[in-house]
Amino acid sequence: MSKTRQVIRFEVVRSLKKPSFWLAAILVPILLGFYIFIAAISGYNAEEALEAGVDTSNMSLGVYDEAEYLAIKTVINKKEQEQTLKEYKNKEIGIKDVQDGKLDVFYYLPKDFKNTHTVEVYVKPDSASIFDDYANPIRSLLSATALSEVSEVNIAIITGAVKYQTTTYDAQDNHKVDMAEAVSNLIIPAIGLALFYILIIVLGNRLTAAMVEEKENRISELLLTSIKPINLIVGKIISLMILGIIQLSVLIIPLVIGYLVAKQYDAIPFGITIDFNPILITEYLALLLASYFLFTSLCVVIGTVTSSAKDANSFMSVIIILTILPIFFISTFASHDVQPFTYFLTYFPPSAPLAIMLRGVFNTLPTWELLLGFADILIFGFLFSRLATYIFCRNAIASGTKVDFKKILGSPRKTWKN
Amino acid sequence: MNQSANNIIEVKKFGISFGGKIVIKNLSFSVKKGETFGLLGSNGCGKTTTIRTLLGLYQPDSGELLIDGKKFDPNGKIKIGYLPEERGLYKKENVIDTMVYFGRLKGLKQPREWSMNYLKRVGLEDFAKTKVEKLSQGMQQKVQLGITVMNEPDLLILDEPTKGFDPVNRRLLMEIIEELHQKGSTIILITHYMDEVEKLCDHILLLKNGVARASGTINEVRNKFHRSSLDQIFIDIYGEEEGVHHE
Repeated sequence: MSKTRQVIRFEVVRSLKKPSFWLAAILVPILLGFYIFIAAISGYNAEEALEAGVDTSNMSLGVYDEAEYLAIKTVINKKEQEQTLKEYKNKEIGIKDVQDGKLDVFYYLPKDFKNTHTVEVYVKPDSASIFDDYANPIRSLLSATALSEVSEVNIAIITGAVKYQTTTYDAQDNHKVDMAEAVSNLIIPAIGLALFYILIIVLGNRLTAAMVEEKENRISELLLTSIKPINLIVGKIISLMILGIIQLSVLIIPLVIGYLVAKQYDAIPFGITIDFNPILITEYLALLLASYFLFTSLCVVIGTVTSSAKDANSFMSVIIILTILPIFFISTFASHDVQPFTYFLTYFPPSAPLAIMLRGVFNTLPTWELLLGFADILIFGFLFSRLATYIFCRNAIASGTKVDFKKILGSPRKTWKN
Repeated sequence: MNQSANNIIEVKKFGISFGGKIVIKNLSFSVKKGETFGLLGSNGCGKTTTIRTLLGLYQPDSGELLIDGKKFDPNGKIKIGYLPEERGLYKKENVIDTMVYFGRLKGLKQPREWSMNYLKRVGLEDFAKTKVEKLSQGMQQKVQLGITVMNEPDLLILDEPTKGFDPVNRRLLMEIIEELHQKGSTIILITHYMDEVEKLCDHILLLKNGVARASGTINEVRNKFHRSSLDQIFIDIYGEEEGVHHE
């Protein structure tokens, strides 16, 4: 045990000393956060721009209502000012004014508008604005005219102002579901899912590199006369677990502090209140750690099978794809009717962690399945770590050669009995 | 006191093959405590395989290989120093951290002090905090040598130790071997340099195609082959398979 402790100490300390560890630990979450922020802002702005159309506050607007449909000819522009449209009695004059630069936008409602539902819009913008939407003023005039002829309740229905009060009963025990609480309960699994995703992205390659290093640098022989492979592998796995926990702390602590500060200043977005249910947090923290253990064991197997970081990386890509497989089938997970394929992903070792967390997010994971999944992850984590030791005993000094599974698994040779 | 009690290494009817190819066949030999033993042979004759099997890196197909009467155990009582043929270090780590790590694994009480003293002795004290990859090949060899002998091993196994060594490091190695020999360490030397063998070894074993061709003291081997030089004996034995004919 003392030698295992020395391996842990060496591996943890040297990783923590490296700026690259901290850079990856801090930079990846920041970049992910930045990406989400930019995506959210862009989405919001695009939506806003789509709704708003071009700003016509400083433009001159004219209209010829040959259909005699419009009841109102004044709009509220973006500067919250009333803007009255100049009335024309002739379509050609309006178009000519636009062409001569006397008028910025001219709207023409033809006589048969009520049948064709078409308004003609004439503009002469500079070339950069040719794709802008100039129809907003007339659109609001048409809406206002239409609404003026409709009853209040119909206006509410048409404009979506009707409120819907939903009462939801729990599928299992029929109790009334508190939706605010339900949303909060989904946040813990969602955070767990995000943290696990970040962990595998940040630490995946580091895990295999740590195992390949001795072989690549031809240290194994020197090392294995001082320590048993089992002690070395266990030391490596524990140190990688510790590094993962440090990485998690780097992610979780700012999240918790941010939440507490935002809560104090009543600045939590969408009014979300996280229900700090200690049982739920403990469940998902344990699941997160077990998932990371499974992922670490898988990476260690890859590290023991391969002889160089280059070889290991190609295998790692496969492991990462299998691990994040549930993300590609997110719509299947969103369904309350759990499909056989969903069950397969829930218990297939590489994809199990994300599948279980996703089902937690979509509330399709009963407690017994959470426990079964947790056991599945732990058992396979343990089996993979044993497999890693088994392979390491056969392949520890195979530096600089390609992977030979037949040689590794078929060989009766064994270094130490573990 | 029986003879085997004086032996630190006993190899009995050892056989091993890889992929159907026999590498070592029915090999037996012993090494007495405190002697310097030369394991000789051409490339691929099974010297490194024998050492790796002795150190548990391979499992024998037949026979047994014992160190102080037991199978090798890294946690055993016998302190072992091993300088493998394929040797390297953690390139991204600094010299002192690497040495301290190995020192702790070898059970040294004060690995840092020992390492600093050694680095002073070999003129590397200013490089203690330097990353291994920044050192020259010769400097790295000094560090590897330090790691090998830092636990004052009872059994020192050197697999082609001077391969790639510059003359300065070669002399340092000879000094260290001599010191450890004086202190009673047993030394196993695998080398192609017959001058080193004649200078250092008490007993030798010549392997060819995994079979022992000659063993005994240097004089016994010389007498057996009626030759005064080990070099000549080496050529006689291994020249046969290369098709070299001598008068």
